[in-house]
Amino acid sequence: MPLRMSRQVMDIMIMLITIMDTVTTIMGTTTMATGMTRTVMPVMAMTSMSMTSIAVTITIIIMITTASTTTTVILMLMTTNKAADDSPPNDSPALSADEGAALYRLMTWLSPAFPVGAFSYSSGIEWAVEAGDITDAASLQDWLSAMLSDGAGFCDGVFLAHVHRAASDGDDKALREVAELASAFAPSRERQLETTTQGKAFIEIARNAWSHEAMERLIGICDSPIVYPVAVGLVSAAHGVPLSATMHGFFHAVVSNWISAGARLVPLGQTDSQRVLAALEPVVVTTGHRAMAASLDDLGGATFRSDIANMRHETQYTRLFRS
Amino acid sequence: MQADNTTLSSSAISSSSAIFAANRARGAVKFDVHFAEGKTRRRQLHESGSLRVRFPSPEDDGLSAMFVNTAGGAAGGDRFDIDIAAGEGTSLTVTTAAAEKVYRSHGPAAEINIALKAGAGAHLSWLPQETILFDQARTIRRIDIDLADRATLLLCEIVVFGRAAMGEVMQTGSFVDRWRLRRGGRLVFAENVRLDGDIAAKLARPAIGNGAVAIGTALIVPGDEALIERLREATDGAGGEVGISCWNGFAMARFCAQDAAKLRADMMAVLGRSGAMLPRMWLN
Repeated sequence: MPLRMSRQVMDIMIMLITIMDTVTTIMGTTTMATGMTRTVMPVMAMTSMSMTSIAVTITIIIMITTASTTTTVILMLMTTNKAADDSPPNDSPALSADEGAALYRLMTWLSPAFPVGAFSYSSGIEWAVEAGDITDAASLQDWLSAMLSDGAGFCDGVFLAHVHRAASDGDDKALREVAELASAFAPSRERQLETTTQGKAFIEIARNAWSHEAMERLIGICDSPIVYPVAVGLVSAAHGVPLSATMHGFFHAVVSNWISAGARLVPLGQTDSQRVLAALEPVVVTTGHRAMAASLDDLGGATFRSDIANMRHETQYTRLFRS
Repeated sequence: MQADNTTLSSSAISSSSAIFAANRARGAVKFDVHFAEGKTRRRQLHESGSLRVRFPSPEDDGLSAMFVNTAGGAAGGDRFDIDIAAGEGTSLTVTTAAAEKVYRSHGPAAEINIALKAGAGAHLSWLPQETILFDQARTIRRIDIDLADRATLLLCEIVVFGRAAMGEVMQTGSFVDRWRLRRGGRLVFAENVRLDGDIAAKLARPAIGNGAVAIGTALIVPGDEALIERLREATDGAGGEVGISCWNGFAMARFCAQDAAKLRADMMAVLGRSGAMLPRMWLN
């Protein structure tokens, strides 16, 4: 039986992921400083997160464990005050066991701490910064908005949706075909590397830490490399995590990673990064809805210069990223 | 007639759409070539409607084919089907006599379906001249390429948005272009280009075109690092932007320019570096 997730749960989930993302960015910056020649992201205090009106304050302890470090961060989660009488905490219904499990898993799989190596890819943003196409928060936002609505973002969302449905419906033929199409749907060598290595890592970690009988069968059906959106759709379907929540979580992970790359390269401060993330929310919601409704015939993009940026990145002289 | 549109009865509308449908151009060309007596020779050829193919002159190093669209372009609702098979060991170069124009449509799209096959040891060059999309044109194109393991391919396509030479900009319309490249039965490249709605505004965005009026793509099979290093040397003096990459055993070059003539020159420079002989029509 598929797990259900309410709208409120989705809202909270997105905020939680955003905060975890910020934490991991700080960690990532520290890690990168040891291996990279330049580090541009200033480590900023959590207090710089600008929130306007505060209605509810919840203290959450998030434990992030990586292979080398365990960091405990105490965060203040603040919800914006939409309306004075809007869902006071005492009336908030508890999550069912299924909802709780779905939220827990999605937040884990789509967190920057999930070790698929996302932090090492920029999807051509590194070249776009080098070439002067991205110079500040506004130009980063426009570039990413196009990548979302008219580029890799929308297409990956369509692949995720079709894989999730085929896997949930037991349509093995459709699953195999979508997986094959997705594996060939790259505009350059580095984009191919990016989506293939992340997909492979996602499947490996899921197999070892989040194993599920249904997942092994589904993996066996795919006879082409399992790329990142296919991996996410396949694993979430196997675990009965609903498609819509997976879709929005996936977009959040992708956009956050792009912003994280852009922020390190431009460079941008934490607050500017959050502003870009906030400004892209409606684009993510719209693109998610379009991807959910799209047939494979509706697939398509037009980010020609982003494609060229991906290709030009191959010969970029100084590089922090693998794409 | 336009003034009467508001008073048309439903039967009048259906009869006018029947007249519209009856007046659409249909064109289909299907042919295959084989290797016989040391040369690539034409085998079976089927032509219908406004699409014709000519084989200008026999050559020792392969056969050339040139498409002619006697309809003078494609309008909404038109449909063209091209199906070409290059048999084992053959060498075939295909081009077009003129740039293909897609005219403004009031609704239905012009449909173009291209299927290219090449057998073991065959070489196929698909080098048509530009496709020019008029403002408000609607186009749905599909290119399916099926190569045997040891077949080689050189393919290029250039799309110009609006009659650039006349200063026309393609403001709105629709362009959908689906490419599938199979090698030895395996899908190695797939792409859907989709530009619709407010095309001029989309092309203005930096991640899309930064004000580009033309885009182009070339595929070369086989393609490796040594090849793309050579191709990249041809882009030093490029008038537009060029990206070159290789993966899955093929090479791709992507072009984007604010000037259609510059893009064509960039394409010719890169294709020339691949060692290809460009059709004479390209050199005019």
